[in-house]
Amino acid sequence: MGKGEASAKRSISKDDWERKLGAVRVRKEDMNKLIMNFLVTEGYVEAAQIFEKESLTSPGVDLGAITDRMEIRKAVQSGNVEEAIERVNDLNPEILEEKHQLSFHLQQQRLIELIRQGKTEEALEFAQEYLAPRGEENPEFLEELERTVALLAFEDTKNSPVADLMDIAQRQKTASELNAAILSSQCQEKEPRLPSLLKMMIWAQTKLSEKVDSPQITDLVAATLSDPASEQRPA
Amino acid sequence: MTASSSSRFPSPASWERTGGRGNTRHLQVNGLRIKYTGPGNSDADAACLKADHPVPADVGVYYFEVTVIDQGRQGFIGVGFCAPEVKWDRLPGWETHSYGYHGDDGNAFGGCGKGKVYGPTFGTGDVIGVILNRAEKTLSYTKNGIELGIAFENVAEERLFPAVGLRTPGEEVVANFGATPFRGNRDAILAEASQRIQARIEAVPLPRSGKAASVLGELIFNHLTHHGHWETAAAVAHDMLGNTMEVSPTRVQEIKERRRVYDLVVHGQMKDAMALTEVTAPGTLQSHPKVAFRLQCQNFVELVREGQDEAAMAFGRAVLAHAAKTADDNELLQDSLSLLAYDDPQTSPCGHLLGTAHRAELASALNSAMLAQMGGQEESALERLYRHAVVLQQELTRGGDPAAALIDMKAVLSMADLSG
Repeated sequence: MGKGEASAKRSISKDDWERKLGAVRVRKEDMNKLIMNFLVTEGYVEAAQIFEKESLTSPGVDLGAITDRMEIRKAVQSGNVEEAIERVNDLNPEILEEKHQLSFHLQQQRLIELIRQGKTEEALEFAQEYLAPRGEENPEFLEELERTVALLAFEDTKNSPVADLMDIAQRQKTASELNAAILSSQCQEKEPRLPSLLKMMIWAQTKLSEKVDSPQITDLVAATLSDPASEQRPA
Repeated sequence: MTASSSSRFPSPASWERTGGRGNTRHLQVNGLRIKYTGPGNSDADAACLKADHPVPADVGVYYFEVTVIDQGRQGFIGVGFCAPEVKWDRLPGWETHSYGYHGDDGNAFGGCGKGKVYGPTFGTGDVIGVILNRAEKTLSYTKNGIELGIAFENVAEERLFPAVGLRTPGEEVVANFGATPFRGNRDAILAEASQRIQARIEAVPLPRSGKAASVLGELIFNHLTHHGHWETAAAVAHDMLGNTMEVSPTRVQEIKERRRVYDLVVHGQMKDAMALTEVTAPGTLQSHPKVAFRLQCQNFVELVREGQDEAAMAFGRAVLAHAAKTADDNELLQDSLSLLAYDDPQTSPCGHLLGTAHRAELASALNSAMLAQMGGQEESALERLYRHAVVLQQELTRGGDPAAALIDMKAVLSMADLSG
């Protein structure tokens, strides 16, 4: 308890919280806008085109104009990092020249893909030639490089401590970083609303818990409310 | 960023009236000006004055300034904040629950007679600004508009009053609680505080949960299937989720059928919609009598729209009149029947029953009923998370959270600025 702070913590029961949730107006069109904004900003053009037809939500931009961005994202997501790098440089060579971290992450992804294909020797050569010099410049890069090279040590990478690197999510992370860099180079809004909204939700939940004991959502996909701490009974 | 400048509570506007109690008898107060006229021989002669109100609880960042008109004999001037119980006979910072920046040595005093080295000294002609950041629990100062950095951390007192203390003859200051323009850039100070909170929110990691690697992808996929947008869902599953979401052919069939039911309702084909509902999710209409009745009523409304008044009337007598069970049902029944009384039902008081929004709303309600019937959630996780976020925003604002006051949460929750 800090000095001068009040000790009483207000509590809101699950039932009361449900009632409050029920009183919120959720417009279907708003949810559609939220999704369209995500698909367009993240460069999922095909999905955006289909969604426009299926839900009659306007994408707000010329979807044709973001084809380049889409092709680049697709390349990363399907493991063709070299192709993605070529295309980005065709579009605007300054992007990778200026963003060292992004450029490192792309090379790291390239290494991961080589390992995925089982090209061990090629992977090692690549790591030594392109990645090691950068790691020497930056300790943060070095650590990531070491984690990546560790993949070579495991026969079953899926059950290794560095399994996350082989994940589809890793490709997506790299693809999103590249996508954001392209958007920013084109002076477009780079952050989609949906992740901001969810981050704000999590932040607000933590903030509120400092003063109020209320039901929380920890598993976003299940979206179920936990009991407020005051109602939880030890098992 | 205007959220932090307005409050539900009164803000400091002038100096408190002490009636000359304690050492405040040594102070000559004229509006916002204070002059020390006492002996000023020792620390026991110090006098301190607080503002009339504390900083409102729901203000994220509060700023006020004090200009030194005359540093007097020795310039023992302290500027800062005091909790209500702090005595009048001490400079701000000497007592616990008080904070002060002192002009003669430039030191910062926080609840202690010994100060710590903080900033430059100040005297005649200088303008000292005080920044109370409730969101970060810090207190900082400006001198002549230049920020001096954080002087105190963990400043957690709930009620703090702007305060000034004087100690030697001739010392004179004037306060500015915002009635006249500040020397320091208050807006920039607020904007920086707001940006720091936004950066902290942006750095919040999204927890991994569910089946797929991408929480966002899975939330979107679930929402799309929930509302029967199967084609988009399939594209998202392929492009974002690497086809990690397994969906059985029967489930795809069910999703598509629910969408067909939705479209039938939106196009006014009530009978077909009800029939297909029973094929896709048998028992839905029986276990959701309210939705079932609304569908029947809408069937009547559609007949009226098509000008089939006689058929409508027959349907009303044979089916509707018996189907109404609750008070809500009866009200809806009356509204629907009233359409018959008008030449142009569209412009009648219950014309909204003929609107497309009304049909869409009914279609959504039926979709939720079918999902519930099949043991699913009535709304998507995304919709539920959105509701949760809105309620959290309301509760934080209600509780006067200082950090929430510094950012525009409503702007993130409103989709008004997104195209669509």
